[in-house]
Formats: sequence, structure tokens, C-alpha cells
Amino acid sequence: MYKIGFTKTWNSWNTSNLLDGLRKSETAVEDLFIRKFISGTWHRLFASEVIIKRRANTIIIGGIVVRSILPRKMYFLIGFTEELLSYVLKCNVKMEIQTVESKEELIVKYV
Amino acid sequence: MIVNTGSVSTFTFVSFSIPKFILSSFDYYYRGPTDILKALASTVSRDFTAAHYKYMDDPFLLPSKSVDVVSFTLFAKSSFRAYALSKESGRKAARYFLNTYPELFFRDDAEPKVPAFCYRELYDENTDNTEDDLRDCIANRDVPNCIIAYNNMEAKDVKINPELKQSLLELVCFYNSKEARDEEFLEEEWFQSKKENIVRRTWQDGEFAEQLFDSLPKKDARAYCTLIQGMGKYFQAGKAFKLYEEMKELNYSPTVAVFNYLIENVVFIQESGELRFEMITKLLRDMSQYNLKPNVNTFNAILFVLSRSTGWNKASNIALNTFAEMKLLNVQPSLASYYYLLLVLSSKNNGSNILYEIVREIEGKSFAIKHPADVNFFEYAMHVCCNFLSDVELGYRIHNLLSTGQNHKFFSTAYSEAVYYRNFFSLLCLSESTDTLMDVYNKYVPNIYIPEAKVMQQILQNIELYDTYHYIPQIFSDITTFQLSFRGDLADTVLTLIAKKKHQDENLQKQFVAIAWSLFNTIVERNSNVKIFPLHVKGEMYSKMILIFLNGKDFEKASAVLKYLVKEKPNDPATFIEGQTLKLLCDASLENKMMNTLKQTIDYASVIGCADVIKHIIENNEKYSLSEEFIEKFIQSSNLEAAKEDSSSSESSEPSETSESPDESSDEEK
Repeated sequence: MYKIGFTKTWNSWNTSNLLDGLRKSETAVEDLFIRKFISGTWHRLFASEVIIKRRANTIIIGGIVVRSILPRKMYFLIGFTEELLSYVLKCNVKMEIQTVESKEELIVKYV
Repeated sequence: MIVNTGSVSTFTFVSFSIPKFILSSFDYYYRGPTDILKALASTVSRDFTAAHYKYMDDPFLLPSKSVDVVSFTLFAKSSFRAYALSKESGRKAARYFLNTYPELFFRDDAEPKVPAFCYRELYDENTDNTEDDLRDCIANRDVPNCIIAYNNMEAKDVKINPELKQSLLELVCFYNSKEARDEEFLEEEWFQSKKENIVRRTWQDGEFAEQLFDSLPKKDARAYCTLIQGMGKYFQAGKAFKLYEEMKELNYSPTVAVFNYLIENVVFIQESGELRFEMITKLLRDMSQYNLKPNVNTFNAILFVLSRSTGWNKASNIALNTFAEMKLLNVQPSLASYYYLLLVLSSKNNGSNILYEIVREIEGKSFAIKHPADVNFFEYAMHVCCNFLSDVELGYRIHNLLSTGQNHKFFSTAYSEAVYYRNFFSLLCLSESTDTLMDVYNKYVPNIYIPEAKVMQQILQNIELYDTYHYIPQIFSDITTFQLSFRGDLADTVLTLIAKKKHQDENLQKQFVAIAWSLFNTIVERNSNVKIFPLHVKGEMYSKMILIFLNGKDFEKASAVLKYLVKEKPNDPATFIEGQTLKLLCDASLENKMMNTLKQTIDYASVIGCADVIKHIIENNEKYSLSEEFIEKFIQSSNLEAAKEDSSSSESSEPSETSESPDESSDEEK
């Protein structure tokens, strides 16, 4: 885990943990909730970590998804996730996803 | 990302306040909550290179680029449609869960509360409602809850402020006692396949609005006005006029909006244009008696009535007079006024010329929506310009107007936007060179507009006319992406075009071979799959493919087409290919010394009754220096087949089998 912040960036981007940040614990729990929700709703679809970015009153959920379902169904899931999480977290939630053919495409190795 | 660990950075907080007033050249204006955002947005122009932001920016998820494999799509814009609707349907599914199981989503630590993310309670008969509940419901435009709350309060004899009753009446009249449409879900409306042009009575007779009005102890002028407007909006003309008469008897004075709706409803009271206009004049006289000044919607209402009485010979004159009157009173016309004027005048010969004057007048202006019919203007103007006037200069001017400011939002549905662009492209295809056409094409396709099969056909015609064949590969790849290849006779047109002549540019010819080959493969694939509706392809198309392959010196592909025909469709007269093509194929096979194909070609020629193919070979005998023996053998075998063909057509499938055996011998001979 020590690699986070060094060889890879943060999975949660927010200002809660800065000096005098607001809602420190709530943010952490909410992020956990979002990750659990994503792993259940987008079952076996996320190839990468779920990246959660908070910007003003918006939460942006990013990540890389495997192309194992039709784009139509993916759009359905996007709409579903955005609407449900917006209601639960009481702020705008947006998804920004990119797709890859298979999980193996994310393996990057320098020899 | 650089993580700064060492130095402590210092922040300076800059506080600034945004003034509440904006100074314009004339006056101070109070700044609205969104004015600054609007000003910022106006600095960014429309991005034609990206799809709408509701789609994910990813090659797999962008519409039109990724083709849905499972469904054979019926609409040109279907992936745009399917993706946007899927997303909305996902949102609706989430909304369903939230509304059905509110107890699962109780957590709410937002402070202050966000009404949009709060559960909206549904009242029933047992709820104890207060005036505040009713007031909230009205503010939220929640019609069903309002009705329940009001009924509960009436049943329990709760006193209701008359002012509140009036605002309730206004709400239910505006929404016709029905639930207001949810403005968060607009995709379905946008992607309707056809624009609904409702000019019919939709007012709910005897429903809550009327009940509420009847129950009012003291019906004042405002209540009357509200109900008349509601009825007028949903075209309950008879009752609206009755109420108006009542109002006059009671000496109440109506508002301008009441008159506007009444004028619109004249359409339903009178049949002929003359009587309608008489009635309008009467209403306008009443209006001046009440000292009311007409506004833009009054004129729109008059023009609306005239546009529905185009059979009347004075309609166009009166429409022009109405416009003059409008100018006189210094009333700014909205786009709807121009739309109705165009509608009235374009029904007459030469009347469409008014479009020139309209465009001259509004050129360069940016409009704000003022009337529901405003959204029809651009679609109809382009229709008139393309189909009646065919003037490309005017087309450009209209299109520039559409590109001004936020004018491109004046479309009510995706369908009407597509109709506008269809007409615009047809106009360009008819009168512009391919280079200009393709500049516009590259700008708008595929993010704003996806051409229909008919427009593609016109683009191909334009390419033929200007001899700009190098655009065909691009157009064809778009045709394939939009799944239009076998819509109408588009595939045939493409093949005809590229089979027309042998191109000097080898690279281009190679691309043409690739196009024909991909079409051929699609046909083979589609016809080998029993589950999918088969494609009926005519022999001419196969001939053209062979011709293209021969032009591209790709003999193997040409013989593949023949092999396919011999194998799969030996006795389907519709797929017989032309004798001229067979002759060329013979020549080519002799040149390439491919005796198998030569044999197959001759056999095939005899099956379909093209005897002159053999004659052709004999005539060109010397060129290829064939041995006498060889030719004789050929003639014999083909004569034999021809005889068989004559005696019984059922056996005509045989040549494909018989042709296999002598093949080796002929090769050996050579």
C-alpha cells in the first residue's frame, strides 16, 4: 500500500484531510460506501480502482471498465448510479469512465 | 503529480464580492442568480468535434462510432437515441427504488436540506393537511398532492385563504389538473420519432379545475381569467367563450392573456376564414374597450388562426397587415410570428418569397423563446428554402442565423433537427461543389447530424457530378458506420459509381476494391445466416462488383464472386450477371491463365444463356493463342450444358458440379 502517493496517485481526491478540513470521517465512510456500491452495481466490470474526486458540491466517480457488456447497458448503469448516489449523498454525482477490452490491458511492465 | 513535503506553503485569501447590479448602456439591472454563469457560458462556442456531453467520452461508449452488434438498428440516429434513453431509463429505475422504498434511504445529514434530494411525501385521505402543506405543494408544482391536500382540508373544514385558492386554481388550470411533466427527464420527449402537433381539445371537462372554480364562494375576475386561460390553453373553446360572456355580464375586465387564448380558440368556433376573422375583429374591439394593449402573443394568436385558414383568399393580405400593425405598435415579433407568416404565405404561389424579407429582417439576431411555436421556425424556413425556393444563398443565410448566439436551441425534438439538416444538406448537394459540401459535412457529421439514406444518395450524386471520386471511401465508411449500406439502393448506387470507370489512381482503385469486397462479404455473411432477414441482391450488383475487382486487377476476388454465385444461387434468374461482365471475366482469366475460372465462367454463361461469351473467346482466339483442340473441347462441353439447360431447367444446377471434373484436364493441357 505504500505505493499510493508515490508510484500511483490517490484513490480519493478531496480537501477533507487538509488542515481544518470539513467532514473528515464522514468523507471516508462515504467513499467506502461508494466503492462498495460500485463493486456491487458494476459487478466484475471495474478493471481499475474506483477513483473518487470531490469538487465543490460534486462527486466524480472515475475508473476503467471492461467492455464485457453492451454500451447501452453501461449507459443504464451510469444513469442508475448517478441518480441513486446523488440522492443518498445529497449532492451531484457524476461518472467518468473509460473502457478497455480486458483487464490485462491495464498491466504495464517495464523490463 | 508532485507531492510537496518540505516547505510550508502560505495561502493568501483573496476575497472579492460580485456586485448585485449590472451596468448596461441604458440602466442598472438587478443581477439574477445565473447571469454570471450565462455570461461565462457565452464565451464558449459550440464544440462540433465532440458528441453531446451526456455521452461518455470513450471510443466504446460514444454513439455512432461503436456499433451495437446485437440489434439491427432501424433509425439512423439510433445509437444516439438508444444510449441517451438507456441512461435516462437507468435514472428512472433509481427513482423508482427511491420512491418505492423510501425507508431504505432515510439518511440525510445535508444542512440545509436539498429539496431535490428529499423524499416527496405522497398524501392520502387520512393525512392532516394544513395551509402550509398546500402552499409547499403549489410551490413545488406537485398537482396530484395539491388536489389530495385540498380535498382533505375541505373534508375536515379547514379554512383556506382565498388567495391560496386562487394560486391553486392557477396551478391546476396551467397543468390541466394533471401531473406536471418532470423537467429532469426530457430525453424521451427529445427523441420522439415524430413531433406531436397538438391542436385539439385536451381540456379535462368537469375535472378538479372546474370543480374548484364552482366551489369558490366569490368568483372574482382573476378566477374567471384563470379558468378561461386554462381552457384556452387546452382548446376547450366552447366553455371558454361561455365564461367570457359571463364575465362581460358581470362587468369584470379580462386580461390580455385571456384575449390571446380566446383569439386562438376562434379556430374551433368558426369554420370559414371570413367568419373567423370577423370574430377576431370583434374580440380586438372588446380589447380596446377594456383599454388593453395587444402584445406579441396577441399577434401570434391572430397569425395562428390565419395559418389555419389558408384556403381563404384574403388570409395572406391580412397576415401582412397584422405584421404592419405590429411594427406600428412597436411590438417585437417572436420567431413564431415569422413562422406563422411564412406558413400563411407559402401556401400561395410565389408567396414563399417573403422568406427573403424575413431573413433580411432577423439576420444576426439572437432570440429568446417567447412562444411555444418559436421552435418550428428554423425547420420550416429551411423546408421552404429547400423545397420551394432552392436557393443555396438563402440556405446559408438561414443557417448562419441558426448558428448565431443560442439560436441552435430552437428545435423541439431530435426529429425536427434532423429534418432541418436533411433539407440543408439536400440543398447543398444540389447546388454546391463537393469540396464545399464536404466541408460542411465534416463539421456536422456525425455529432450533430447523421445523414439518412436519401441524403447519402444525394451526396453520391453530387460526387458523380463533380467527378470527385476520392471522397467515396470516406462516405462509404460513414454509410457502413451508420448501418445504411442496405437501406434503399444505397449499396447499388455506390457500386454503380465506382464501377463506372477504371481509375488511374491505383491507390484509389485499391480502396474501391476494398469497398466492393466488404459489401460482398456482408452479403455472403447476411445470406448465410438463416436467422437474419436475407438480402436480395440483384445480378447487376454482382456484375458491378466483378467489374470493380477486374478494374483493380484483383482477379481472385472477381472469381470468388463467380464461385459464390455458381455455388449458392445457380438458378436464381434475379442474380444472373451481365454477359458483358462475363466476357471481361473470360478475358481476365485467360490473361491470368486461370483455366478453372475460365471454365466456370463459360459454364455459367451457358447456364444463363449467354452464348456470345464463347463467340467472344473464339473471336479473340489469336490474342491468347489457344490450341484448336482446347477450344473445341470447350465448345463441346458448353453446348452440352446449353442443351441440358433447354430440356429441363431443374437440372441447371448441375454445371457447378460437372465443372469440377474437367478442370484438372484443362489445366494439364495448358
